Amino acid sequence: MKTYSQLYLFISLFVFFSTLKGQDNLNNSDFKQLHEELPTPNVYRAASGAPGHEYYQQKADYIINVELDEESHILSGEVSITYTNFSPDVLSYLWVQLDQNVRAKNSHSQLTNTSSLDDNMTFNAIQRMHDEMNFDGGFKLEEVTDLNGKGITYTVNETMMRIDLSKGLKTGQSFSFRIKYFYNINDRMKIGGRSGYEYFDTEENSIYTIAQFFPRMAVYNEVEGWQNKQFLGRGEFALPFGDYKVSITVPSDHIVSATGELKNTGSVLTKNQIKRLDKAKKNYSEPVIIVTEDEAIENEKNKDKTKKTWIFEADNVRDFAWASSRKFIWDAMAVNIGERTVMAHSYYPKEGNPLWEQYSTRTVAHALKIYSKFTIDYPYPQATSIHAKRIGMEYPMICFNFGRPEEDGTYSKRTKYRMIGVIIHEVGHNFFPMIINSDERQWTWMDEGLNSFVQYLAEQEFERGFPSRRGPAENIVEYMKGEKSNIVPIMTNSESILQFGNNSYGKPATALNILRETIIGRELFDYAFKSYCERWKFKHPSPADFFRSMEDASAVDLDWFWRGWFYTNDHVDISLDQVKWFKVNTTNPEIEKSISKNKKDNSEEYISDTRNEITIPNTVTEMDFNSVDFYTYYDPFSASVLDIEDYNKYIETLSSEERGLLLSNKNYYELEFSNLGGLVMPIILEFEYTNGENEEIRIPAEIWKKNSEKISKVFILDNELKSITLDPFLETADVNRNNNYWPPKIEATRFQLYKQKTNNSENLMQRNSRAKSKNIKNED
Amino acid sequence: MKISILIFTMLFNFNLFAHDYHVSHTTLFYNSSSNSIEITIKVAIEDLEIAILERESQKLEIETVNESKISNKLISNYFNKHFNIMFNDVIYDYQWVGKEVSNNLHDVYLYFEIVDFHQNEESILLNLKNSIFMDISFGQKNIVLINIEKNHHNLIFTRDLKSQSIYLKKE
Repeated sequence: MKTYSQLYLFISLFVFFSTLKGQDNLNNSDFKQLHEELPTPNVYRAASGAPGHEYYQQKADYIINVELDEESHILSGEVSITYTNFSPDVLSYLWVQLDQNVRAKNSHSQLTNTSSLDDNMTFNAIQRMHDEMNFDGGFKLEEVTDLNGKGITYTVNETMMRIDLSKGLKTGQSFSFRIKYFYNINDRMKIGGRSGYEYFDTEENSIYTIAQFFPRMAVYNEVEGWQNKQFLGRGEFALPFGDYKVSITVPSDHIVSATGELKNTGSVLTKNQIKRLDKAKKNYSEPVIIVTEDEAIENEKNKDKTKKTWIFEADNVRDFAWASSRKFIWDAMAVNIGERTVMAHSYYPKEGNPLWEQYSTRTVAHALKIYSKFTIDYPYPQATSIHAKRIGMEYPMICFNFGRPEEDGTYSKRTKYRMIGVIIHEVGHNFFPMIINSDERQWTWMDEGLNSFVQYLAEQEFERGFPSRRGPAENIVEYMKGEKSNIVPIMTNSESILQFGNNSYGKPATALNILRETIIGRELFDYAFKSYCERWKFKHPSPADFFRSMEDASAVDLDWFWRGWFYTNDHVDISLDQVKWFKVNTTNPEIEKSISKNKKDNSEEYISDTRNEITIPNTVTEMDFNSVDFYTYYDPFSASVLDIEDYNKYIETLSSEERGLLLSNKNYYELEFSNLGGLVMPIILEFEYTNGENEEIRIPAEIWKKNSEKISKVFILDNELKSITLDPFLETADVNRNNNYWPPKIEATRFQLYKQKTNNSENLMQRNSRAKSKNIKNED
Repeated sequence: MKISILIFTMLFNFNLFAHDYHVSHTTLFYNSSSNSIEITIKVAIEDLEIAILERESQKLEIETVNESKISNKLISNYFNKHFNIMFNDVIYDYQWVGKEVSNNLHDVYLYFEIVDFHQNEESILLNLKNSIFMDISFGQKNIVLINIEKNHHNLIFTRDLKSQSIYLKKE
């Protein structure tokens, strides 16, 4: 028995050690290519990052008729879907997404969200919980048939529904079916949601912002097969492109806005509205009001019992959403995109003014122009911003945006800039993911990250110093230096992301900004980024397509960057550890000996020596002449005639090049850096010379290619250095700046900076109004 | 209203672009030249305003003309109630220093200070209780970074972990 256990121990130790050895022998370089992480290129997705020569995608066309019941907040109707198979595969079933089922009682979304109660909850928090748990907002399917009304076999699995096909759907074939359904619309103010209604107590009116309102086809492709991840609430949508014809029946006094173009203008708009709309179509300089605030206020006073049907059509879109209310004010303007005219619209209640009238449509127009510059020309006929308290949510050609002034019509700086920011962001989603149609269910960063990056560019073009939340490297530092157990790599499925906003909006936006400003450079980056957008517009890109396109079109190997920033949760902390200064030994005794003397004179004195100067009045050699010899007063720093002769002889033996180098009087600096954070990054230095001049040095990240932990670099400089700053322009997201200086310097904390400032408790607006009232008094 | 601690599931409250993640960042930094503990707390303005509204029925309206005259007092009270700092089982009061809205207008930095702090013993027990905004947001996470001399810690407080203790060593 004993022998066995010893043998066992031996074997397990052997296995353990050999495993360790195996890991040591692998290539763990930060610069290793991503071939093992990325899928192998194929005929559908090329190694260049472009769609392959046999790339395909499916198509789903919809005819939808829905009716809004305003009294009971119910939406009912039917959808006819025609699904066309362009894949080389024969499909025996189709998967349809029933996203409203996330609000069904006991849905997986409810069951898989852990939470707890405690003894210190506010009444409102308890109320919210009740509202959420008691509401049944799932789809109620009444009929699922073919177009002739014959029932078809289907199975609902949570937010997904399988349609069984009686015979396989071959390449190029289509299958059509029809679903009759209804569902309860959620009160957004009580239980949240991307879609729903906001109820206004005072006049008993609602604003409906409606989306995910019909069964939608899932994506089928060669990457995932059928997109089979349930909708749990976080990871958004993956949807195929198609053409839509949608009829929306609402109370006659409602104004409706939707994805696509209105097709029955004559039967739903007044002559006056049509006239104003025509005027707006020609006005490129400012919005034209189509329904005025006074008209909207008049409109919301009565409730029309009759109904009207609004008909919209949209081609080549991946989704459809709409908004409806009798509270809507409506304005619009024309925008030039390339050779085309695109309309920018806004719909908002009086509660949104004065902010919305001034900024919404202008912001839509601005976003369309800037995104078109950096990505692709906006291809749709219009883009609309709908006022929706608290949320920002995107759909093709239409988005719902927050930003509500106070009841007295005043608003804070925060309300204004966050409203402009959210409109830019949500309009920007037209490009990512509505047109450059990534799989949101799998990868949030592919739309939110890329979109937040362009949002930053657009914000900075809206106003200098726009208070952008995401983009600048320093804004991500706090997140990246945090506890690693609470940070996951960007390449994490949408549902498993920790710190959602920082992970999938902030960090990728920052990473792209660093690529643009620091690593690739603006010109090369912009070309590559635009190439990716052009290649994948109206298609389904995957992460590898983005990574590869950016490298392929810029000729910059970025595998190390994707590996560090997207596949790990490391941070940037490069430390300037040591600075050594060398001068060439000229061997000229007159120069070198005086340098040595200077060095000695300037060196710190040992404490005993200092004290002994005073406490020992005379030493033996000072008192007794006979104790003195040659060595007592020999000056090692003086150059003798013989020393100088030897030197001249030596110089004669040198070539003129060697002599030049010897006499050049250069300064040699050896700088030592260590990588404490883990991410390899370029080293950006600012040299300040003793003569007052400054110089910027930019070293690519590849300096770490052979040792990603510690490196040194020698600089040969004409002048002597006074100080060195690492990352002087805050561009690399270095989390600890206290090791970025030579001579060493500790940066003041935010707390200390605040305390140093002279502070008063007044805010800027209060101060301004106090100043104004003082002026008035003075005038009196 | 007192509700005993139960664990059960509930529908997730969607937080879209508007406010995607509920997290606060606190730094406790020991300033050896002034012998004080400098406390910096970064929170989302929106969270702070909701918390004060629901707890105190007062609208803060930070940085607007309508900002409550007693907003600093209300904030100070809220934090003293929901964020306690104990050294060797003694609660240390912290004083209000000021507040500052972040450049991106999303967050506000709150500054507090424990003055006249001396760490004479070789090792002291630091206990933190942090339940900031846990009464209003179910997914709230509060990150506390401790930088007291050689002691560097990064603690995360959640609904299930509101109180944590660590030993601070003198050397």
